[in-house]
Formats: sequence, C-alpha cells, structure tokens
Amino acid sequence: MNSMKIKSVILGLVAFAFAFAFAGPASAAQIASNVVVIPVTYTIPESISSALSGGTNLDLVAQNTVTLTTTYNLVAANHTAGVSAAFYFSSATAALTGPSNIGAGSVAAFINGGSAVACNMSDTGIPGSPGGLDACFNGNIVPQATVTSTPSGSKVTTIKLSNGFLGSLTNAGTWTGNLNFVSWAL
Amino acid sequence: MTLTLKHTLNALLALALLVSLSLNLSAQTISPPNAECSSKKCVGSFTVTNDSVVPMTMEVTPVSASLSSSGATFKPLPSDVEVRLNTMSTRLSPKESYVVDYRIKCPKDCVVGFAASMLAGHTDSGVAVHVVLVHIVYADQKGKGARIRALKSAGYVQ
Repeated sequence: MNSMKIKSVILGLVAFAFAFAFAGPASAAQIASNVVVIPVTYTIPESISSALSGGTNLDLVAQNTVTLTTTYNLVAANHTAGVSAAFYFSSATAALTGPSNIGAGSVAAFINGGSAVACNMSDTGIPGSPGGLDACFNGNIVPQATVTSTPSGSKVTTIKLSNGFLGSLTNAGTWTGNLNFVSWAL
Repeated sequence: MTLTLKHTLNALLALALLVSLSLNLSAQTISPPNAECSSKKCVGSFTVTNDSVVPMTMEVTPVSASLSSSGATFKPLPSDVEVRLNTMSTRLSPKESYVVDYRIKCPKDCVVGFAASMLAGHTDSGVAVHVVLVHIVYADQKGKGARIRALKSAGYVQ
C-alpha cells in the first residue's frame, strides 16, 4: 500500500517536472531576466534601412541617376532628431595618383535636383580615405521636425553622376576606391 | 492551349519578378539605429540584416561621431576610446540577420558610431559600391537620456 503511494507521488512529481520543463511561453520573470543581459544599454526597437538602385545593374555611368532610398521606423517619443545621408568617394590606398581631390562638380553633379557641395573627408567622416578625397554630399534627408511628426516613412535621395565622374575614375590604373552611400539617424 | 497560356503567364511573372529584383540592387537594415550607455564601460549590440536576395560581405568600422547644430560628422576614434567588437567582417546570406556585439570604454562622455558597410557591387570601371548604415551609441555617466543630453548639448535639438 505504502509502495503504491510512493509510486503515485513519484509519478506526480515527474509529471509536474515535465509540465514545468515543457511549458510553452516563458514567464515574465524569465523574459525580464533575458533582457537584462545588457544592463547598461537602453535600446528601443527602431530601424533604418537603405536601398540603392539605378541604371542597369551597377552601371554607374555618367549621367545615370542613382537613388538611395532610406526607410526609417523610429519611435516619436524617443526620436526628436533627423535622418541623414551622405554620398562620397573614398579610397583605402594612400598612393592615389591624379588630382588630390575630385571637385564636387566632377563627382555628383546633382543631388535631389540641386548641385552637390564639396566637403572635406575630415568633416564628413567615415574614415578610410587617406587620400583625402573631397567630393561628397552630407546633409539631412529627413529634417528633424519631420521625423518628430512622422516617425515612419522613407525618403529617396537622387544622385546624378556627372560626365567628369567616370571620366576621372576610368583613367587606367589611376583610381581604386569605393562609392559609399551612407544613412544614419541621430 | 490553356496550359501554354498558363506557362506564358508564369514566365512573364517570373521575368517581372527578376526585373524588379535587379532594380532593387542592394538593401540593408540596421536596428536599432541608436543606443545609450550610462557607465564608463558600455556593452551593447545591434542587428544588421541583408534585405537583398544575394549574399553580401559586411564590414563594421567604429568611428567617433561629433555632434553640432547641423548634425553629425564622423571621424576616426580618438586614442582614449577603446572599442571591441565580436566581428569586424562577415558574410551575410540573403535575408540573413547578424548581431554585432560591442564593448566601448571611454574616459568621459562620448558618441561612437558603428558603420556597417555592405558591398553592393562594382561599377564597370571597378569602383566598389557600398551601402552603409550607422549605429550610433551615446555614452555618458548620468543615467538614462544620454542621447537627448548629447543632442541638446550640441544644439541639434532644443
């Protein structure tokens, strides 16, 4: 009789253990403890995306229009700052030949319908350009006030390459580098 | 006859899909775009997703972000800011997400950016084309609200 009781108690405990182990969703306490893995960082589920398209495949030929679409999903209560984009040429090789910088008009002739502005790599950043090439675009694509009122959306930045752009870059053995399309949110 | 029509429609649909994919050459997502830290040692992570249908190589470059009333500029990290990453380069399959873990140590308030760059392709002349998204971390030692404090201090927000 006693052994029967013990058996049923053991079976009950095993059943309880199984039920506990295979319970579906984690409890709130478990979730909270998982989140607190990074105790000193506060993050909010937001994101920015960018997509590049234009021309045929990647034939960034002169006078082609390239579009950079930046999509943002921000939390208005947290976000009171804007979304920005930059476009610049960089090179990891210090030993560039040719002109020490590329004039703004030679690289990106038209951005969002306006003229490109020349700016210094030391100002616009994203290192990797010991050659110190200028020629870039750096500015707000989505002003601060817009982000505050519409925390989700997208903005297309249109970049039209000038005739001189590939004319300079295609000098045989002269230019190696990168075209960078950058987006960020403050 | 109906079968042929069906096949033709399927082929046209596939062609349209292919064209739409080829026009959208490169895409990536970073989440979250910002983070805050409230101690000298800052630990965190962000996720980079390859939204395109082709594999991409991703490189992460830590930079220092300088804030002003007109926005942010990025420069190489100063020598007193120490950054550690679980990876600086990896290959992402189509639609794959990758979590980048970082640890920042700065002696005082600092704003650090992680530029996640993906190679989208090359121009005919061999110039590489990159799409870059930046995860910006605001660190100070005054508790929650480091981001707004930094933006206000720079005069970017009121």
